Amino acid sequence: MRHIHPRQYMILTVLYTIGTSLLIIPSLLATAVEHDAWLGAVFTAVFNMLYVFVYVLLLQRFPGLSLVQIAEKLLGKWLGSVVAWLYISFFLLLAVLLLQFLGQFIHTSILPSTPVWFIYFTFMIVIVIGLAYGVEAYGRSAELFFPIVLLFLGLIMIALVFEIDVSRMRPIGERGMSPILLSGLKMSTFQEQICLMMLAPLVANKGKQTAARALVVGTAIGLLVLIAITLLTILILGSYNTAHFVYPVYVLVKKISIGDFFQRIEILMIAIWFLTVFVKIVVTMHAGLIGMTQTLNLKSCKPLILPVGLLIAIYAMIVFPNTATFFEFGRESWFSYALSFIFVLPVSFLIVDIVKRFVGSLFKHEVSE
Amino acid sequence: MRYAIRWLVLLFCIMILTSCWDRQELNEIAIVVGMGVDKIDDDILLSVQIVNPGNVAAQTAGSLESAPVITYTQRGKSIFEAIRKLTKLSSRKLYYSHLRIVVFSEQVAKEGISPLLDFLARDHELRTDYYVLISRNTEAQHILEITTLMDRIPANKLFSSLETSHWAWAATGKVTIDRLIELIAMEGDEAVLTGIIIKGDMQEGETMENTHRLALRTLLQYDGMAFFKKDKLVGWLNEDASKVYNYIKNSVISSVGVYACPEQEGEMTVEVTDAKSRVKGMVRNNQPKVKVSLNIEVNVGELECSMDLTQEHTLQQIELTLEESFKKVVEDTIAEMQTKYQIDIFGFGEAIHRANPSYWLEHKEEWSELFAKLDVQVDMDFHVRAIGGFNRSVPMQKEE
Repeated sequence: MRHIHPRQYMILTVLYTIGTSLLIIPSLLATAVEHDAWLGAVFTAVFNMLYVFVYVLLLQRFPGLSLVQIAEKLLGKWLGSVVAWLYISFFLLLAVLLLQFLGQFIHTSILPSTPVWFIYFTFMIVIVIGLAYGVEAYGRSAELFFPIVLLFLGLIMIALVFEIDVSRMRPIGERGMSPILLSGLKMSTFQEQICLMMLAPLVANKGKQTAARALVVGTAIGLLVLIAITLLTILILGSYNTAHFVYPVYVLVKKISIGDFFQRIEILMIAIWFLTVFVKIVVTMHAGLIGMTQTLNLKSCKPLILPVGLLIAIYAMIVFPNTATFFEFGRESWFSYALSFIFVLPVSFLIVDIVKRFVGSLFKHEVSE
Repeated sequence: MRYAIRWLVLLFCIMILTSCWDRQELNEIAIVVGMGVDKIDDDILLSVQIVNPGNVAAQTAGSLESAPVITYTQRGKSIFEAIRKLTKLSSRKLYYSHLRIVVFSEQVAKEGISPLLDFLARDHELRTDYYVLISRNTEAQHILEITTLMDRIPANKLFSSLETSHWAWAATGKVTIDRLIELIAMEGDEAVLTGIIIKGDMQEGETMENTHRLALRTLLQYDGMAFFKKDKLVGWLNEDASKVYNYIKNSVISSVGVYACPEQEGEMTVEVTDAKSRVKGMVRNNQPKVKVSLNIEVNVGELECSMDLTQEHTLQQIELTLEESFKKVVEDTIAEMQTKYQIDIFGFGEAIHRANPSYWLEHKEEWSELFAKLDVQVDMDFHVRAIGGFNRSVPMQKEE
């Protein structure tokens, strides 16, 4: 069994949370609630933390089990494996979407004449290699990325502070709190920490440093970054531009120009983006692979890596005919689909477990009497 | 064998990781520094100013056989079509990431610039760090055809002189495309863009001989600012009004103002070293009201009247005079916008919006009427900070 340190797990969580969200969330939030987008991001964080606490409760009740194993243990062989396969399909579809999103961004913003399939396959090669070396290897590489990501993010944020116009965030809460809450709830489905639940059994707990704790801390750090970036886009680009540029954070970073020489550093943003999306796809795909190994009773997930990787790259090409369908899917369908996997099902696991243990204790009680 | 395969894989990686699909070799692209948009009938006349790479480097600066830039003009149904059609004229593919200025002609701006901004916001090669200008009394094409001397690339000259004059004179505005779009989209604020004119003879300005003279016969000069209603140009602010606009918008860094001396003949010139503005909106008894507070710090720069600047009393007198006269200028400018145009360029609507969102939601449709009779209170606060290195004026012969 391979193991990673809780610190590495935390770093994976941070990078995972920043991942694609950095580019999607400010724009979608500004479309929904204009200049209150940053408040929306705060609520996103609140909801996300709520989900993560549910995961933590599950982790504490079933130490050493992955989500799929929990499902099978709680719901029995048949229903359990149905739910397990639903989760596996969710993870793999998510990996497809992430790859597609990365490819589209690179295609429209940086390399317009490179065929998009080429981007998918090149990126997939790296991911497959990462998975082939296993969780220790990519956990450690995430540890190496982490200071780079922090440095670049810090640099970008400091450089952007000079452009801030605070009046852009007023009036606060113009249309009442309910649309903000609603959009916060919607956006919370774009950070799928549930994938990290699959990796939790691989974490070697060290005293107080447990997987659960790493998950909470990592998510909190990632969400803080998200709130800060959303706030910056609103304060610098204004709500209209944030809502209508497809990749507002990229536009934002393009604006950086200090003293005529510290400028054109958007490639740093792309570096952050590449590193975090790499982590996000690797973790998501690994979650799917672990699920498949466990439900199929395989010894190792290695034989699955290459075929599944190829399938994901191919699906990324065909699953959405164009960017508009992709964004529409993200806006309209993703919410209810994802919410059932990242919140509804885990909560029902928890309830089933509580009921089961309660009934079990009653039964025990009767016997002892 | 394994070793060989590893090396092969590595070599293969090098091949695919260079992203050569999108390579743009420096000697295969033409760097566009300026873009001008005019209209003929329903078509767009697009002009681009391209750096002539052989003739901008320092060692060849003396050679005057060929121009440092080339201006191409092409007609098309849309900007993008015209851009691609330009390759019929240019030997290289045009590259837009280093664009410095975009000029719209006055005529185009009067018909509305929104349809023309779309390409600028959409295309991946364009950034957001260039400034948008309006060519006044002339076509945008001609602005890009005038030669300049100090900075041999005219678009660069326009870019840096806009920055310099915005910094030191404050009657011009630096507006980038994202800010422009934001201003057009905002309901309680309007766009204002700097105007550019050709001073002197246009034909002569188009030749390299223009730059041979000590006093250039033809120059590019910023002149006034154009204000918009949504995306359509409505009128021009003169120099004073442009300054007032910048003061209210809190974008004055430094400037100079000439005022009459207190209680005597002659004028004094003050240098503004710091200016802060606060626009506060409020709604009282269902009536919108805006309070503009300007806090300006000045140095005495030039005196034409005899005053003893070592006395505190004198400085207070100066401050009082400045406050009174500048307040009048500001009030007059605002009143002119209210009565003559009913266009809220100062963003007072946005101030009301921020102060009282529910009132704004109800009344934003009729804002231009409300703006016309809006109660604007101007508070002026001048501080004289320094008097320079001479504490009186130079003695002069009094006229009898």
